[in-house]
Amino acid sequence: MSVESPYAWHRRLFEGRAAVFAITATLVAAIGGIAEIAPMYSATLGPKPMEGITPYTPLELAGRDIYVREGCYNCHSQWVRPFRDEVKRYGEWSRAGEYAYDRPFQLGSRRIGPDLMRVGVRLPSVAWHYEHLMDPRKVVPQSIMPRYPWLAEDRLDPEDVRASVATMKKLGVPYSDEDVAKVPEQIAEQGGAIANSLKESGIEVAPDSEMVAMIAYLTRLGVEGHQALAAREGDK
Amino acid sequence: MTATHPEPAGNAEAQGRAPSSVAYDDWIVKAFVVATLLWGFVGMLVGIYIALELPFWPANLDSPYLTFGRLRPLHTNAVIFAFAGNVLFAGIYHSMQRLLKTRMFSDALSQIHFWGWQLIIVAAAITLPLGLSQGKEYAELIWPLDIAVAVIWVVFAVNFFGTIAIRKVKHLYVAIWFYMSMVLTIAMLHIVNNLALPATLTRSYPIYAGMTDALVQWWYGHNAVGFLLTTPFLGLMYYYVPKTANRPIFSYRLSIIHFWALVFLYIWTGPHHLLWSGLPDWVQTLGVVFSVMLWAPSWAGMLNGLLTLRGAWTRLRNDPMIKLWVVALTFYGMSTFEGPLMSIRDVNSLSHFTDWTVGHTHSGALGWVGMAAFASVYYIVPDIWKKKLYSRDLINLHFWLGTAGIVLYVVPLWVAGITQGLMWKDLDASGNLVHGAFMDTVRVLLPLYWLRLLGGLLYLGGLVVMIYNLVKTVRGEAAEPAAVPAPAK
Amino acid sequence: MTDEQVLGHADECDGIEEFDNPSPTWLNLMFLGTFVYAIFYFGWWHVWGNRSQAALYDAQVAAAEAAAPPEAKVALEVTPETVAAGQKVYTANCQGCHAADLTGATGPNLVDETWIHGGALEEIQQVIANGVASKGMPGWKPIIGEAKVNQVAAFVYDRSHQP
Repeated sequence: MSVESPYAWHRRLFEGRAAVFAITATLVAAIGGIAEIAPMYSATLGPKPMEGITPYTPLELAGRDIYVREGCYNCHSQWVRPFRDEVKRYGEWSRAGEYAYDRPFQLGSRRIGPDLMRVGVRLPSVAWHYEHLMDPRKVVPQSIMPRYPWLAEDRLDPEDVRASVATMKKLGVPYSDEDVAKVPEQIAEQGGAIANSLKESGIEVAPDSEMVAMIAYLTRLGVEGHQALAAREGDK
Repeated sequence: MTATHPEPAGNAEAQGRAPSSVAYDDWIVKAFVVATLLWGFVGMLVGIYIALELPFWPANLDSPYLTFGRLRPLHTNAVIFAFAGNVLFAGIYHSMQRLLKTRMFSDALSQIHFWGWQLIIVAAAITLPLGLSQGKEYAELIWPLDIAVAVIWVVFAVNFFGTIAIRKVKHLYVAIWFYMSMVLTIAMLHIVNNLALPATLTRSYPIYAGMTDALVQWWYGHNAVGFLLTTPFLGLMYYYVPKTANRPIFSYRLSIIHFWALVFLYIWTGPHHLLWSGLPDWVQTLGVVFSVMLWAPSWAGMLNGLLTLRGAWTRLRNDPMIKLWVVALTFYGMSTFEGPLMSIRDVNSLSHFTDWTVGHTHSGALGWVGMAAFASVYYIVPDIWKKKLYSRDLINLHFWLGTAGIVLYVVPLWVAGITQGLMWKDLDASGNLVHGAFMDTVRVLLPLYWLRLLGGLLYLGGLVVMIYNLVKTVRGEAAEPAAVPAPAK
Repeated sequence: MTDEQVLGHADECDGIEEFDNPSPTWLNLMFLGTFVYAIFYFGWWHVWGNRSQAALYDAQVAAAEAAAPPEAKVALEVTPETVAAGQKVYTANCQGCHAADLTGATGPNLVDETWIHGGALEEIQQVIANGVASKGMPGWKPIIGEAKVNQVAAFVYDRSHQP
């Protein structure tokens, strides 16, 4: 015993015609993505770079690549939400324009450890970061974070960093040709300053070590955004 | 390696064009089943290990290759693309040949698909612990592997649509609709999200920056859930539930409505991962409202499954495969209620960044995806190998280990998530943080992490029981001719 | 369920039959309800409501400032109460750099004879409140508030001036 469904039109229109079905299903699925993503490229609707935010220096970019390599985003967010408790704990809430030069984005999704959006404001001490990465429990007694001793041993390859900077430039990040040309010098200069600062705390580490790059990245996180937002507050 | 199945009597004549029997390619199904069990075990074992690293940090072993940060992507990629991916391919190759009454379009493409996919998994298992990662959650694979995934996916798509083109039935059954939406939408998501400019052989930078990159990523990320872990598994449900229960589907029209509603609504929901972020408010709101609108169509799928089983309720007590489907569909319903709930701005402000999210993911992954995968494989193996199932009692044991494992996993993480979320938000009368030291909010979670580890172990134990049962089945006695028609040699 | 009839598509579905039961009414209403919610909620935020998360945050801060009693003032003085309270603040925020026994780690020793920025109670309090940016010491006043700064200053003064 069988009957005809009132939806038999669907059977005739789609189910017997695979190509029609496939094209329709693709278009229906595409609508939402286009509607949400396309406006990101509109001057009025999309995010705009915040004034005062500069691209990462080559050393900081190298540090950021290490941050990505070690999967730090699996435990740390870079995203302060506009809530009183988060602003108390982590500093000013995050604006879209602060992420202008972040590729890939590292907002994160789970805070197994604290947010790092403004860790450079909260913890500006290079020695603290060195100790913390070598053995987190030395500075945070109950920490559950792994140790990262290999960062102090492994060295950066300036040509590798140059490839990153050059690629970023091609993607539209405002680096000059000179920035790309002088990558090794920049690493030596900024890395040397950090290494010297560490030496004052009795810590010996090579200026071109991954550790120094990581510290350069971490101590700059959120600083410019913090200053820009503080200036904005001052204008009021 | 192939077997012929006689047509159901009368159909071929009625159609006037179908051959009386079709030689299906069963080798490819067997291959994907074996891969499913192997990678399922590996992926879940890595999950167990990283679950240990949280309450017991020395398990990171001071090794760069074993830190939580590098192994978690291995776990997520393995269970999503290796375990869930392979079981989908097994189920699709098994069911679509039978639904369309034709052998696959090309055996060569099937095999390229199989070996290509396994090679990509092996490459992922090597590169991710080495720290070679794009740094985008659930899309960590580096650009050469992304290209390989795209190529293999196209191979699969050609084979899939080629098979549809040479089908011996006119109309496509609902399971095929869901498979189709997966093949097409995953291709779109994977390619768009991974558009990047290589800097070296192993490193690339996305063409999107900052918030736009985040939006594209979560458009991809949530729809990997939608179009890899939901719609094609519903396709499996539409084939294996009526087959297992030997009952008609509850409602054809419900399947039409919830198919199109899912395909249309799902894709908008990505921004619910970015609530209270720098994303424009109106995009966030779209993420909220589309997630809420997804609730009813999701439940329509659950109901169509459960109400199909309603005629088999009496078998619920003694047929463990029906029980697996009931639990799978119930967890599907629970997760698709919890998801919209967590997309509400106020709820999200508490749940986001906590273990509640991890618990939610796993009630969907272990409860829905895992149980549906197990139930499908328990149907496929005796059918394809022409063997009698070794032990129903062991399926029952698997069912209880799995269910207890899920409960022991999900409940502690609910408690952990809500506890930590409330502690973070706790301000005293003068507006200062009550738990100013972050570690205070971590320490309270550690006992719950041990419980979660135990839940994971039970769940993995269930999988081991399954593997044992299936190995014994394959090595065991042949099925009685009455149950499955004897293959023509 | 005897009145249910299958659609008779089984020959095209590997033998699987389909009923064509109507969707349950409660499910239809639920679906409709979520659409109504969606339209209302979107409109409430962006059409007639003109809400924004930035404005919401500012409103919460303003409300908190209006409602909260001004923070209980803690005078800058060394008493058993302030020292005891300050010890808790120290454990939570300071011992990471200055060690549990105040002998210093990445931060300087607080119980030796040397005071880099002065050892008077007021001087200690100023360093804690405002930080020493060049050395990596954050200013704690915006983070923990003035009362706790005073308490922890009392604690540090007390421990560093033991006979």
